[in-house]
Amino acid sequence: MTIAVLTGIFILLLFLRVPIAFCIGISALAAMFVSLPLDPSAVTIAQRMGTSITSFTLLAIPFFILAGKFLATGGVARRLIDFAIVTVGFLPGGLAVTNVLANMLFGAVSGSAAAAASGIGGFMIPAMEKERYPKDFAAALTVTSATTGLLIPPSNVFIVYAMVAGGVSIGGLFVAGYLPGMLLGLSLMVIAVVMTLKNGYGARTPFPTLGQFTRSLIGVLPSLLMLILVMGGIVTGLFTATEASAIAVVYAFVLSVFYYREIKLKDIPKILVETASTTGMVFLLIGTSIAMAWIFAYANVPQLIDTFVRGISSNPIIILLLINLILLAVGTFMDMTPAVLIFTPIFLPIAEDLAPALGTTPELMKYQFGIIIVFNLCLGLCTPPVGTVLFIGCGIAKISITQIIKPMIPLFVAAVAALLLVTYVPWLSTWLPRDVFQMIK
Amino acid sequence: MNAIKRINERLEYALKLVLCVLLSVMTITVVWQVLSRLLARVSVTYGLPLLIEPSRWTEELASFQLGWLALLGAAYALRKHEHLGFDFIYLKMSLLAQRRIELLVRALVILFCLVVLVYGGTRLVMMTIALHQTTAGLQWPMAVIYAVIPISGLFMTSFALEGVFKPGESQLEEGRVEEAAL
Repeated sequence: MTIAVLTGIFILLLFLRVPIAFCIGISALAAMFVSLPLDPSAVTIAQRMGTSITSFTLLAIPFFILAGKFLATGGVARRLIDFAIVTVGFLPGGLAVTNVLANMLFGAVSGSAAAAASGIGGFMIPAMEKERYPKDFAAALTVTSATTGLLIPPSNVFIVYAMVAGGVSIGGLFVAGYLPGMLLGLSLMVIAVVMTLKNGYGARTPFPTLGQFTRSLIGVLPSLLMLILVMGGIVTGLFTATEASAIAVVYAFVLSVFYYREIKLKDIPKILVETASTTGMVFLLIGTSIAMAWIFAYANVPQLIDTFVRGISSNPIIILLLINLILLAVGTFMDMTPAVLIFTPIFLPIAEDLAPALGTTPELMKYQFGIIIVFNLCLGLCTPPVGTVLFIGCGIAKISITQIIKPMIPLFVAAVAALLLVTYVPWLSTWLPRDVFQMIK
Repeated sequence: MNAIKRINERLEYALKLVLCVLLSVMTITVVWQVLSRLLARVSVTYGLPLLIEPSRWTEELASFQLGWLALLGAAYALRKHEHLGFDFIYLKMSLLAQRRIELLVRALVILFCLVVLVYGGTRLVMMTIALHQTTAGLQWPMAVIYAVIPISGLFMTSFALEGVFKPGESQLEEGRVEEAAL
């Protein structure tokens, strides 16, 4: 009953264009009102929101957003693209491969797929068009490869996951994301090259001279140094992920204001207010989603879904496939933050139970499952009806969603193949944090 | 209606100031946490008389600043029409229908703000006062932290009275959304 009320009202409000955070909040209130009086319902939701948004873990989110804004407006995107061109531009499918690599590099210094799509795509889509790549292909490639940044750390969505999963180190999760993110990027590169050669897209960029290479390396080095400072600090335990995010803000500020000099001091208040606004948007989603997850737990939804999934099959491979399919479906119409907060408590216990069947431990499964859920929802960002990154890509290229779908299909298939590898090969997620850096056990 | 407009313009200006200060101070707080710990470690290792102890209160202070930043930021985002909605179906309707629906959405947003944030938040604050709840480290009354819930609720109500989004305009056009997804 509670769940029927909740889903029904949620979908109705969604179609009426009620902002999503309020859709979640109002349907949570209505669902709670079914079994409780109004007074405790309102107080409980307010209290869930209050405690969730004051957690020290989440502090890293506004800091990474702020650092990302400094970098996005500070000319870093352009230098990353320059560097990607001299490193891989001369390969077959030159600018297509460059596009993917630039998105991965951007993801390694910032944590937002939307920022990558607009920062990298804004330059790469017109550049590819000039080199005789079709616009729809350029846009589809940008949209899919922008999501690699969410797997490659630093990534805000892992922080949100760490809060609900419990007992997971953010640093460990960050490092766990490297190989899956690179695998996704690599599979997109391969398909992009195949598509380019088969359809005869684009011209080949000449091999760079030593001078060109050195110049672009010097340009990009300060940006990559930030990556070493932030991730190095986390890996060596010099500071926590939250502290690293504040250090990233200071470094990005100094870099873009005093070194690259592309942001003036008088622009700072505007950037601060924009960051606060984005933070507020994300945190209202977090607060209301936590309230909704609480109601799901109160109505025993995790147990119901557990029974349902186990009723279909007892084969761990089938169960994991089913979880992936559900998460992919969820991702098509739900934004990442609420999806992670609501579905982690439901599926993580099932995944932990399956850990021995995959030859891993429940403890390690927490990390691997974090990668799996984020990977699934990343793909959801590229699909209609609700695909933020898709809309941004289409907006920049000025094409319709129908046009972008066709070139996206092969890229999407490659991404799903990478997702399946990540799902069934625990090593991909756990080797770096456990065996190489010994951050988790 | 004009009175609301004028009030909202002032509220927006005040919010901007508070948000700038909060975010800057929050950054300094956490940077100080790292520095104080590193300096303390250095001074112990090399026997330097720096007299610095790793800070204990910064973590708690920063989390409270976060609570205020988040909800006041959410109010500012509402003012700037930045809270994302699903407008695929909505934009296919006639402009008249869109205008009517926007009024309904305003009412729903205000309903949530008044019931959960203002009423529920105030009740929560009263409860923590009645129970004399204080924070673990700084020993501040919890009411100071939770007070942001009803306050942001009032801000949001006032902003929502003027509008939640512009009928006929897509939110996801180029440049409107920079950091929609995390």
